[in-house]
Amino acid sequence: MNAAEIAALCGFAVAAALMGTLLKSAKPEFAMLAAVAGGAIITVFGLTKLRPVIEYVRELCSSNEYGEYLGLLIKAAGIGYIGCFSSEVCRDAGENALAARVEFAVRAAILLMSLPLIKNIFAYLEEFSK
Amino acid sequence: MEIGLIMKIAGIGLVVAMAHQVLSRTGREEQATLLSLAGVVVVLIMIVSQLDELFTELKSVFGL
Repeated sequence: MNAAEIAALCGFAVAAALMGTLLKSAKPEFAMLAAVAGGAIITVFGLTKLRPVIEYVRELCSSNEYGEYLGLLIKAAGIGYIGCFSSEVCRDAGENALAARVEFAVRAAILLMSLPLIKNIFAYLEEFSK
Repeated sequence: MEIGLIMKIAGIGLVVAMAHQVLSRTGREEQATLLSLAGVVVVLIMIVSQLDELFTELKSVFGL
């Protein structure tokens, strides 16, 4: 991890944006594809840097009895990020409605995933109040 | 950081744009549209491996 990698990343992003601008006037669909490809490559780079951090956080919480809830949290963050990626691509292509639908679906999925946790919370509260 | 992929996409896009112009000027509209579609499909096939890598990485980092 050094300055050269970050400089390469930023140069790559600027070059991809330039390609997108070049193509947007002639063929907008290719500009969108160039943005998707550039975004995918940059995201993979960022994720490889993020992986040790998330593994460390998992390790910290694995000894705790509430460790699985952290796994849930990280999964929710992951789902949220994928939805965000897709909705931003839709927004750039001018499809704001599609982007909003994707975000809604992702929120519903995260809610569904956290349903067992919510049930547990209410069960504890009930026990507590007895 | 493969800039080559983005350059290829840009190259294909520019070639398809020029060919589209030429074909529609000479009056072959349907061939122009078919060519654009073919170009989009080719680029999609080219980026499918990148998208696969992206999703594999996302699944393994976030544990999905």
